[in-house]
Amino acid sequence: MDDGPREISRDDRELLDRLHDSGPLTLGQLAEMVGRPAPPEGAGAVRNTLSKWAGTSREADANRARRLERNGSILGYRAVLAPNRNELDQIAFVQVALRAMNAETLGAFRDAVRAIREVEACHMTAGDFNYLLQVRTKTIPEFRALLTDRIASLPGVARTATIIAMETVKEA
Amino acid sequence: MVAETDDLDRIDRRILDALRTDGRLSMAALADRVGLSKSPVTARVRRLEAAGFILGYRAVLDPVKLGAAQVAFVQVTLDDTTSEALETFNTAVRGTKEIEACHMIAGGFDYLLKIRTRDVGAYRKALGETISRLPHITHTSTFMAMETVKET
Repeated sequence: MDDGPREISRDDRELLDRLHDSGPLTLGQLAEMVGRPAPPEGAGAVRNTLSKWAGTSREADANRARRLERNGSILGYRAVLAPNRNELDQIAFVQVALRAMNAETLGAFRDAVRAIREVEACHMTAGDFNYLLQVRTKTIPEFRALLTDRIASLPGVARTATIIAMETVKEA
Repeated sequence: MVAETDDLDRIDRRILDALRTDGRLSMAALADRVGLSKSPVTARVRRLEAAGFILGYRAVLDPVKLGAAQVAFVQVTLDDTTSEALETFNTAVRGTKEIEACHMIAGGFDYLLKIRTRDVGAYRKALGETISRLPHITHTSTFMAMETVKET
């Protein structure tokens, strides 16, 4: 069953919005919001927390979060890393134009791009280029090598244009 | 162990890399991934949090389910790129919900923004009412994403 935005209940939306709008939380705070104990605690804590919540108003929250995880609204959880302080901090955007836009070329390009670990994101775009890639490396020389060794030789690539990021102001 | 300076050793980097994709890995699973036992890994994570390398944790949500499936990239030019102007702009960007990402770039414009809205119509509205009103903006150029191939 596909849950489009219309099929999300008001309470589901409220929890999703709350999760979306909160800035980085501690594991404890995040766990509170989704009704789980934070990972460092053991299996015993899981039972304790769930039993604490059973029969309370929090049980509904916990069940809601479980359901949203199962139906894919909540895809998972991740750490928010400080931008500009971790070593893998060089971001470059690469605009890619393909030689052809038929299904076969698109498919080959897509599969190959997904296999490049340093490519964090890839969107098909409207405009002068067909794709925008977001690439994360440690340094510019490392990016430069990746560009020639792997990106420029992706299937179907006609030309690329690179935009180097100097600073990350905000990221998802 | 993590030094007080910005030096990260190989193990810290492996920890950050793992947590970047799955923040709720149990310490046992993280220890497995990194090749250490649970206690030193837990200690390293606490240090990385305390030292501000890890700002916190968040849920990863399906944008389609959130009603924000339309991605647009906007190239933005400012009228002033002194530190004060940049700071004002950066602060406004951080407080704008539709802006999912923002990078200062080297090129023919100043910033690349990634915007999420429900659809193209909602983007058009956001452009006029929110994005173009960001401080110091003098020019915008939008290109729409038609499909997301990869997003980690």
